[in-house]
Amino acid sequence: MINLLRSEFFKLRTVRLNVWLPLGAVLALMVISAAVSLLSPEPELISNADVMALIGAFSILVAMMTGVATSLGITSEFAHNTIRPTLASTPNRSTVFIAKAIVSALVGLAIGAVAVTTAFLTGSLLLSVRGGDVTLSDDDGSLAAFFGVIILNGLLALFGYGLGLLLRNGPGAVSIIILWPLLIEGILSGVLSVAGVEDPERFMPYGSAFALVIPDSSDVSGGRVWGGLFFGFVALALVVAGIVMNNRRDV
Amino acid sequence: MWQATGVRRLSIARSVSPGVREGRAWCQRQLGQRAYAGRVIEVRNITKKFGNVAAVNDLSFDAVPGRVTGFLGPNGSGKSTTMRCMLGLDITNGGTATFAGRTYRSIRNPLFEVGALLDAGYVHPGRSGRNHLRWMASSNGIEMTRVDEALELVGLTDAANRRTKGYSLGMKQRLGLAGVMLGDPDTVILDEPANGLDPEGIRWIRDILTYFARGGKTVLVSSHLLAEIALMADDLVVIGKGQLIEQCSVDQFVDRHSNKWTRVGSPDLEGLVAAVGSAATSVSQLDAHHADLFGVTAPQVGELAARSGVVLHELSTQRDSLEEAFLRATADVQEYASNAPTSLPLPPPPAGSTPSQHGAS
Repeated sequence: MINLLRSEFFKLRTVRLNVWLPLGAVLALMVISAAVSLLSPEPELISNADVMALIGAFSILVAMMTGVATSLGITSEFAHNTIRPTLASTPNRSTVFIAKAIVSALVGLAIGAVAVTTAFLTGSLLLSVRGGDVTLSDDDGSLAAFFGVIILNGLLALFGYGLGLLLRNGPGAVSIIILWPLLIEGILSGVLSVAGVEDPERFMPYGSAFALVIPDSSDVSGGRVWGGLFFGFVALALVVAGIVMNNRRDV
Repeated sequence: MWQATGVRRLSIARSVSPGVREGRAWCQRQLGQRAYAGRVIEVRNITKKFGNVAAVNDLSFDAVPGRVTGFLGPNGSGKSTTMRCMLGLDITNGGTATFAGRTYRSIRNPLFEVGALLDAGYVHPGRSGRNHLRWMASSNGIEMTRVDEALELVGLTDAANRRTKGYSLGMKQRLGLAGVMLGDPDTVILDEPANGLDPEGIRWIRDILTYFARGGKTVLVSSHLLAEIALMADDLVVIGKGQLIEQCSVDQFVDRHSNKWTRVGSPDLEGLVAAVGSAATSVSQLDAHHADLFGVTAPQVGELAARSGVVLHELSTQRDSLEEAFLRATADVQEYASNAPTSLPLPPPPAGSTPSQHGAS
């Protein structure tokens, strides 16, 4: 399994798009954090939660880009038929797909950690130069949101991979990753609301997962833990469904 | 690794034409006389359907160590599907394929045991050749130094760091072969390995496959280049419409499916033809001193010429090529048979021009 994990990680990092896409998102988050810290008229009034709220909101883009990268990682295997030499090198399909899922999730967590750390450090450093003072705190939810960004990134990486594995189609998977929060969940919650379901947002995986990156998640239905677990369950379900389907199909 | 098994078996598929059945029986008799030391690849009753269409139907054959087995069949006959089924990439509707007694899926690190190249295009265009081999090596715990050795073996060292989207088909074939060699496997399976290679490359692949086989490896290779198969293969597995047509040695296959005749050369061709007389069923004169005699063997012609005191400058047995034998054997099972004329008429000259004007322009 270790050999396989090494091989899959190697595969992921040796395609430029998989590197540039998340790296670009990480840099964008850092630039946004720096810009807000520099341009804020009253830096001394900016709180820990304000900085993390800003980073958390934009970190969703980083997580989506990570999801797109892991999704393209697996769909490109089918598009270029490299899945055949992959499975010819390791014939146990479940092992291969599980190794890919582990690598995707770990890479997602790592990108999330780099993104949130660099963005927060940049923001707090620039604010401190301008007389502000922000640190991570357990009291205002900024610390929880900090780790929430990392976890959301890992989960979205897994979600993107699962979707890609299930669909085997890059454009389709990428469209769903991007359109799901923007369109599909909005329509679904509207339909559920009309159908009389109370507080339908809590049944929307993406929407629930966003509670992970909000410092004050009390106004989000279900809360941080529910949101993370629900989205994690959906991502895992996609991966399992993808593995079952691919074990039964030709490649 | 594998056990001696004595006489090899051949499976006779159901629902085949009498000609095919007869051919199989003939080859079975021939093969029964040959004692193989053992076998590594055993394909037994593989069936693969796409919807209601059977791409491979109850196909069985063997490939043995120390020999290059050519896997032939017309377009759409199921060669590539069979190979994918053997490697577990396509899910079969029945049957098994084993390598030294084990299914491919049960082999933990197959690159050490079975090297397979199904299509040279199975590479990510954004990844370099070296990195393509490195992930393969890494997945089976093969040392990275072996990657450079394999690249050197196939002559791709200089292009190793270039992305594969800039590779020609021939370079991709070489890269694929480097992947096959990574684990120095005992069994090699190649689908159309000479595709896209230049003459030097084709010769190289022929030499290397022959080298593999002489070193005791089992080599199964499919190709449309029949002249190449004739030069490199020892045995043949010929399939058509997903069914086995014949499995035998190349010589046996050509013997069975080709015409034979005797070519003679003599300063007294008329005298020679008279001497052979009714022993030949027909005579085809090539030029003033050469002719092809049908229905009579070279030794018979030699004896008749000696008795009559006719001088011979040439006496040889001629037979059809593997290509002609293959076309004859698969005539009933061609999926996409063409009806192209043997020679196309020249287009008419432009209106108002005379032949001399046309030729001069």
